Amino acid sequence: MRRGLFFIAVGVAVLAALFWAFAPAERPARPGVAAVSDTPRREAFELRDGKRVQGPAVIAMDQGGVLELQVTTDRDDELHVHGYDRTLPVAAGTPATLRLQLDRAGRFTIELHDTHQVLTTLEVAPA
Amino acid sequence: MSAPLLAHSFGQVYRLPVPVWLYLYGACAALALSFLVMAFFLTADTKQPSSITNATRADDEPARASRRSRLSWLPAIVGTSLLGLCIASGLFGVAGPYANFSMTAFWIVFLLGLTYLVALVGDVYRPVNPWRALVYGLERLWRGFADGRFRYPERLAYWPALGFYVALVWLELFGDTGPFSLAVALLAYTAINMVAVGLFGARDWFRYGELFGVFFCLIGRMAPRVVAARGQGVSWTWRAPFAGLRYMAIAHNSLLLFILFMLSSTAFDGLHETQLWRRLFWVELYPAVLSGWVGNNPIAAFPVLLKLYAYWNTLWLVLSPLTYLVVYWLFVAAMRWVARSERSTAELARRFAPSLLPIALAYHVSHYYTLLQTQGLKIVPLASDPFGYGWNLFGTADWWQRANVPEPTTVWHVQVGVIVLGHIVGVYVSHAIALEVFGGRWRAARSQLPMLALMLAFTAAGLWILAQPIAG
Repeated sequence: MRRGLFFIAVGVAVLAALFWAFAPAERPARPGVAAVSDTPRREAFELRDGKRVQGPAVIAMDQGGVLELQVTTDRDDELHVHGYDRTLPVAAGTPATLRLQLDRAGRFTIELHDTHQVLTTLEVAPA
Repeated sequence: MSAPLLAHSFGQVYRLPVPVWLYLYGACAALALSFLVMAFFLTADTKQPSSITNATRADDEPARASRRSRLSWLPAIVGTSLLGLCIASGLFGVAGPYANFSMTAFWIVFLLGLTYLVALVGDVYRPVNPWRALVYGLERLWRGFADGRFRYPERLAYWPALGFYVALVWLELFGDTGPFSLAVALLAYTAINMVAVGLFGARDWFRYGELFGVFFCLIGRMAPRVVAARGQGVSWTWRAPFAGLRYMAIAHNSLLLFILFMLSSTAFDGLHETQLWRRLFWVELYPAVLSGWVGNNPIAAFPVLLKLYAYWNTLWLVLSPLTYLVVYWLFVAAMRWVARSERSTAELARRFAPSLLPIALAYHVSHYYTLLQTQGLKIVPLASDPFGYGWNLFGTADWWQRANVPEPTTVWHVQVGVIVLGHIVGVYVSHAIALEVFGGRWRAARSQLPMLALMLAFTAAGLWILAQPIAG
């Protein structure tokens, strides 16, 4: 029994030492991701015949940032941001804007409700 | 051209890829702790009594019991009612997968939740198994039905269960099931089970053929709780977690493949949603190989390509346990050579297969546990409105409507922690089996060097998949 406890203690020590060796002191900079600021990042999307013709497939940002999505479609639909559970009605031909305060980290799909078309994916890295 | 957006399996996953440093940490931790396990065994004088028992025989069922085994009615009724509700809500409820009870109840609560419950408290599926309950219900009306008409053919072994397992994972990943198609699949599975029991008898069919019976029985072998027959009654006893794996006989190669498929199907599920996997087909294979066949115009070729991509994925899903088998076989052969064993590679491969179960469970937990948090809890509101008609039977229909997004940092640490833990348990169990099989402390330790390399490969592969960027 004491031998077992000894090995468990050594195991925990090894795990802790390795963690100390591997964990980065600062979060590494991600290429293409701007530092968090109060000025919102704007992304414009355009859809034609249910297909995305303008706008990125993935939006990578950091937690704490602000995102403004502008969507123009040729059909009436509703935009849905998963995880944030935010919706935005979009009327055909009129650009609609959704402002998101990125307080949750994770990977969220943004889709159009009526056509079930995934518009883009929002990747929010934890702070 | 951009890769197509295929229907995802059920449930929103908010998972981000594990950061590279954490992946490397997990791999190094697995390596370091493996040698610690080896040192643990080298300094011990262990000689365990051996009594190998059949892997999928429930502990409370003697080998030569009468075919009509006892059934407790309460769990049987609960199990059957839930299956009935799943089928009814699928057939008559709303079509939206998230508004209907059946999808969350089957894919999340039953398939994931029950797996983890069984791993904790033993095979609680057996008493609630609705198909078993139906059979013994039918037996009351039709005496002799559960005895079957023919002997279960030995050559069939566990192949039916493995076949159903492949079909289930295919449905999960590519079937694009909705409540209705799920209900149809469950009805079909019920019908197949009844016919099979009518042919081969309940005892053998539920041991070898019924997928969930085999699956949960294997998972239950890891639980720290076990049922034991005491005279007429049944009692629960406690044991060390995973202790049930040491003396477990894998009677047939088909059960070995079943265990390997537990590993490989989860790995494939992770892999097929990565950017890398999509690129392999759409950026490498299509222009280089397929364009000569379907033409260079991507728009015109797209419908054909989409179909080919589906076949391609199905092919790899079916081949995945075989690729794991090839790797496993090579390392077992190396172990046999190192230990100068006189047993055949096949025999050793089966004998050591239980040590893969902790790794399979760890893969499973790390890939799917967040779904219990994001979607599993929704069973509470869904229970009040199973058909999606707007009912509020228990007053819980409005509970927990806000999306429950798990914190990514927590998820990463749980994923890596669980995989490393599963690896350590796998190495431990394998070494314990080696002491049994080869005898001699040093001989057993030497034999474990190839096995350790094998398990590191499986563990590193699992971690690597979790660290891959996910395709849009």
